[in-house]
Amino acid sequence: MAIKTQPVTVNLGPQHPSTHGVFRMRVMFDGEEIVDVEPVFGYLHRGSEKLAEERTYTQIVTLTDRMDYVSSMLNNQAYILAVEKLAGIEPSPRGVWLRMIASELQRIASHLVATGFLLQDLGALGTPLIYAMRERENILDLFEMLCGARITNSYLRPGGVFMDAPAEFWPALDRGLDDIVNTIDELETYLSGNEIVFSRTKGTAVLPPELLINASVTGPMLRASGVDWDLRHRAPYDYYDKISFERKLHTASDNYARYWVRVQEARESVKIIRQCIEQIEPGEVRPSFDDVPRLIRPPAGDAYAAIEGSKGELGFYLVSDGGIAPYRMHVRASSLINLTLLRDMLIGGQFGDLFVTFGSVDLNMGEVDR
Amino acid sequence: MNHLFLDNSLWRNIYCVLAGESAECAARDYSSGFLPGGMEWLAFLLAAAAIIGIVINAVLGGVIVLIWGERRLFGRFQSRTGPNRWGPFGTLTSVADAVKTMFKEDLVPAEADRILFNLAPVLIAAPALLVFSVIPFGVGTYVADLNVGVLFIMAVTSLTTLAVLTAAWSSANRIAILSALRSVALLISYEIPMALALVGVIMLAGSMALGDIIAAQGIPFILVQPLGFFVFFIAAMAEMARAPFDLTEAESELAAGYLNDYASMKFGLFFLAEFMAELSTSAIVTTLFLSGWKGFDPIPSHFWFAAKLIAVLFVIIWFRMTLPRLRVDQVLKFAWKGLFELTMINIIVTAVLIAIWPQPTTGQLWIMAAINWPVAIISIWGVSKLLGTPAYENSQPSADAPTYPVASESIPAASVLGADKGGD
Amino acid sequence: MTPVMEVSALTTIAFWAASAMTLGFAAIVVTQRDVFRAAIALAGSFLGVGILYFVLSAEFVGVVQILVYVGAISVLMAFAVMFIQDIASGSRPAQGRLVGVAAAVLVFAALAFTAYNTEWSSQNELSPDAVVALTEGYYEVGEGDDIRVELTEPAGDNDVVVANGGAFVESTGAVGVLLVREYMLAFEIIGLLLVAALIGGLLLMRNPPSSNKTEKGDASV
Repeated sequence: MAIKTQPVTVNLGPQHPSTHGVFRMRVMFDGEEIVDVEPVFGYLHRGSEKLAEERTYTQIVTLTDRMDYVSSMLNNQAYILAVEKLAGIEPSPRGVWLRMIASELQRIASHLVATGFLLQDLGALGTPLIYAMRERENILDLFEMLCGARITNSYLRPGGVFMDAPAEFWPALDRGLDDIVNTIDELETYLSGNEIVFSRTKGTAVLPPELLINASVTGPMLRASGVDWDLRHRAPYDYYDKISFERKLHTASDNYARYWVRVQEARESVKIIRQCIEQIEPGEVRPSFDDVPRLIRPPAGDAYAAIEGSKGELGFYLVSDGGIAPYRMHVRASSLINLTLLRDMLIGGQFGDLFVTFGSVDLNMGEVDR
Repeated sequence: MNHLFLDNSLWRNIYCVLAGESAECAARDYSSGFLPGGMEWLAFLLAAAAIIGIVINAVLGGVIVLIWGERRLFGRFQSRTGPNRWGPFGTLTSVADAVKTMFKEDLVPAEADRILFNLAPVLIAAPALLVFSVIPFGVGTYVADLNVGVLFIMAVTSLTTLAVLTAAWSSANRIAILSALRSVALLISYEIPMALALVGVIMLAGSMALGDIIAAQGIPFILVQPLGFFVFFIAAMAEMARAPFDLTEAESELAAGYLNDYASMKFGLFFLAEFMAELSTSAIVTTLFLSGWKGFDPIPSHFWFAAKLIAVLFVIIWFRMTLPRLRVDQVLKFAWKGLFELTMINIIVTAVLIAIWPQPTTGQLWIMAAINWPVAIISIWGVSKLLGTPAYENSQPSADAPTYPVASESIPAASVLGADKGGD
Repeated sequence: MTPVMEVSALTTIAFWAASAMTLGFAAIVVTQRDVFRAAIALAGSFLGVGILYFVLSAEFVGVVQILVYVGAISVLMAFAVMFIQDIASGSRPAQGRLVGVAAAVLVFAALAFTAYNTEWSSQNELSPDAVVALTEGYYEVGEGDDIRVELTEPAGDNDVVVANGGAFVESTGAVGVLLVREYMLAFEIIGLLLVAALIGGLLLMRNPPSSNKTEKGDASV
């Protein structure tokens, strides 16, 4: 004899506190067990790719800010790399170092946000989130020194950055890096050894590396499954070939491994920034307007450039017809592609793990919907 | 009729001022009362009404202070200031919130069962208040000292689940129903360790009346019953669905759980009941394990009670602020495989000790404490070993881990691992 | 603590109020077509019975009534209603009304017969010594139907035997003593029975066939 139960379909989102933006899931539950998940997205679609066709190459930088709004520097970087490749621009060294520093800082900020919200999804009432956000605030202060903006920075330009860092930036950066290391130590003391965090995340939403590769998932999610794949190492862009850093890997491929990889990567980013500070030399931060005019007219053709974003491979594909605006822009949004395995992660799992798993993907609806 | 109430100074003072000429009061220096002789029944009714009014209003006032204090503490824990706008140090914030809540639109979902929907807030607030009727707030200050006080508390707190079920069912909301199912699972699992954890205290005191239990505490029972305290505290946190057991209102999962469809003061009543439960749980812990209002002399007993209450509240808020939530299956596993065993160990050890010293004096209580603490530490350590999540054996990849091909300008699709399986 | 029950105006009012509550909710239970509402009304009826026990100075039974019937059984009933959709949606009139009526009449007859034939002790029939002993709160449970009340002061022969005692002073203590002394065996056997029932329930729930799990369907709630 068995007690017969009927599955119940519940709409989670788009107005739900934990959907990291506006995302909807039609979830079918059998008790607490997830039987089926149907993701529904597009609520934050703003047509960035289409809008780009009406903007000049420099103006598009502001559009990229608004895609993944917790890692706008990285978006800037990926886009600028594509433009440089398309137009054949030689960037100036100091500009490249500066944008590497900025993007690594942004990576730390993004990983901190991901960790904080993962803990929020685990049910910690805001405290870890606020600790993480407090450190992110320091990073945003550094950004404010660099470019005057905190979230939608638009700091990068084809060939470099638009403004050199002010003199007070460098001591502030030194202090900030020490703070970040302290904060990460603190977070790890509270979280990595916490039995509740560990028991909630260990062994949940396990994905085999083969499946991840087949779904072309990249970033911390992939590295948490033991696949050594980091574009900074495999296909170095900017000056990453002059930098040595460790690629942190974990084989468990569960929610804890994803969390762990992010925290360790934030530590590595600090080391990368320190190496950048050592190697940066005075000079122009971008080529003169004679070499790179404000209105760039790349020759007809196409280019794809990708960076190791905070969430995975972030690629921009640009097609030029020789005009001042791209004929077509396409973004390889890592959030969207990482989301494709949502069903594999969730089905058979528990309701309690649903949003934890969702948070461990570290997606940003601004990037998914664009 | 009432001579047995006269131990209760709250009762005696009100009753005898009203009916001083009655036989019971005459012996106690209440020379004359406001009411003429023969009107004792009116004095009885008035005294009862006054006591109920005093206790209810004290509890509601306590809730207002508690909400303010909790939010200020949240601020401290989260390195921010917390509410500080209305009144000195933001003390009037809760008042402003209460007014706001009352003036909000009272929405009832179209599909809702209106009678039950309106009944549920009452059902949840009434038991939360009833608990306070047996708690001694100070020397002789209580509503009633039932001789089954502990059992009464257990019975009354179990009514909350019925209210949660009613709220969830009547609002015709699937998320609310999921929340109610969790609530019942929590109740059924944690009622048992909670009751069993108190068996040790009851055995030591030889009574279920809260007054007798306080009297029996030569030293606070937290020292004599560390395991009982540990289990009771955790079970009480689960019973009132506080973090890390806030499964019923899990914000990141169920939004607000069974409260999803409630608005205005109906929501306010649920909120009130939740904070009253927090207050009553702290009061029960204070009474049963921290020797209630007992303290040393120059400071009045009510202050001792309040100080201990605030200390317990602080710990509850601390837990809430710092711990993530457990999953349902883990919560249930913890109750049945962890706390249940601990209570059994506690009962057996306490029973043996009671058999040796049937009516323990303070000195014997200290000996019991000396025996109970190692037992508690060893058994909690054992259970944590038993239920703890084992660490990863090996987390670093071997050399032959799968990988993408090395990046080049063009990656041949077929070389991607497993790509021949894929269709497009 | 509580004195031997005195019948006063307030007690009478409380009795009638609790009785009205019990019967009123019971009437709702049988007339209400919505099963969930009926379950909640049943809880109210149980609560009324609990209050009646309190009025009768039987705190222990009253609290257990609330704990078990209102807190647990009603919750499980409401819980079951949520699970079984057919009950929740269908408000079919009860089938086999005749059987129901017959059962009700029989149960009522049995209860009335027992109540009528029991010799209820009245406080007025107690000897003055017994009243003193009872209100002082010393008692000891002896054999048979008698309750021997003892004054603890060792002043001569102070054993008072109360015939057919219905008035417990401390019902909680008396129940406890009776359970672990006189009715120990029955108590243990009931415990064993409950454990057996528990294990049986676990066996029923274990390994449900997996075929039902993936069944697609939509429970309308």
